[in-house]
Amino acid sequence: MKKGIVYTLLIIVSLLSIFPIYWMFVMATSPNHVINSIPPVLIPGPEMMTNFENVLSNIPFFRNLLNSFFVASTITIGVIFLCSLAGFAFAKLQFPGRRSLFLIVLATMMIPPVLGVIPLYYLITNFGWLNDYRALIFPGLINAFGIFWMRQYIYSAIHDEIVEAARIDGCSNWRMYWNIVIPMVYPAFATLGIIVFMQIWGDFMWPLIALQDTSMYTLQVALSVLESDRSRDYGMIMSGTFWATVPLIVVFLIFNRLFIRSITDGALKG
Amino acid sequence: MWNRSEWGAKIAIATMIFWRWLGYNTLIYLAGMQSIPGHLYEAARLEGASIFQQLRYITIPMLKPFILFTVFTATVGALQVFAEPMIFSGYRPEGMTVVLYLYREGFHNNYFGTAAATSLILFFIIIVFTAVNMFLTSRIGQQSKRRARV
Repeated sequence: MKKGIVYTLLIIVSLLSIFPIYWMFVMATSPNHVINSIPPVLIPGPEMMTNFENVLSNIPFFRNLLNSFFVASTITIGVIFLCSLAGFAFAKLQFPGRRSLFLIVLATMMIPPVLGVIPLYYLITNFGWLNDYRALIFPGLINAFGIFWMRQYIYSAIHDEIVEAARIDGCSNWRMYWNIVIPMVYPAFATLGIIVFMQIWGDFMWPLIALQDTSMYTLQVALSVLESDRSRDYGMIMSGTFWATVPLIVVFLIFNRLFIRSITDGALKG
Repeated sequence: MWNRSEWGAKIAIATMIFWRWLGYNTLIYLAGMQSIPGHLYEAARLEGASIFQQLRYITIPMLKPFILFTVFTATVGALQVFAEPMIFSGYRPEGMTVVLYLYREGFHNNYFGTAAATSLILFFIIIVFTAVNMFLTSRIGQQSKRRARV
């Protein structure tokens, strides 16, 4: 009896979570007159290819996908490298101003990135980076959360004895980072990488501001172009959205344990 | 149409965002509840605590840091909502948010001064919300501790 109630509630919540994604698929495969019919249709229709061809005639979908992938992976690699470097310095090196510098980094974590949009736009126009991948990549290359995250991880994962032993053997800071720290913090790289990748992949506002050509757009911005189309072809819009979601679902199915860990670790340690 | 009615637009946008973060927040609470040691519940059961008393005096106080985290990220995140109202109701007033206003002034009307001022005001609003959050959560924690002692 008690089990029954628990299961019923869990099934209802699961259905609520999955239903919008399923319905997106249904709409992506249905012609428009079916989508607008009442009551709504709940089984996939035959128009999958037609709808996707309409998407391709409106936006360069695969180019946009490539843009998103390129920008997100470049930023992810940059963040992992630079933040672990900074985190290592804050965790294991002694230098004057270490504490206050770290506090400044933490303080910038409190400021939401949205507030920097106007000055950032001013900067990239002066650099001539408008409508350029550099406008997306450079501001994201290092972030305070990543530094904090790597610092906490390196601080607890690498014992001082190892650092001292390496130092006595004449190990330079760079070698210590490259040969000792990196092999020991791979798990933190994976979770930080996922967090950053997802964040950049889903970012909408900044690419919308920084990019101007449809061929330069990231996927999220390109999809918004479909939406603003006057005809309101929902089959086409949902087809674009659905195929933009598929890569993420595939990545999620492969790495789902890592995904879940990246979220829970973020709450526990961050 | 939902996106043209005063409250419909707000409820629709809120529902979208709620749905989007449902899984994320669930996972955080799951991790939080898994971190509560089982012997606390055992002891409470031995002393005859009902399931609601267990929830009230063990689960919720032990979840405090997680509640703080989710409430904090949700409120500060909600102050920065942009994509959903932009797509859903455009620049119409029913779904206008602070960040959407900032975007419209800066990149649609080219009033960069207004946009910059908006972001400064938003910054102070976020500080106020953060402070209120912290105050409330620390008070809730103290109250439940006091009751537990009695």
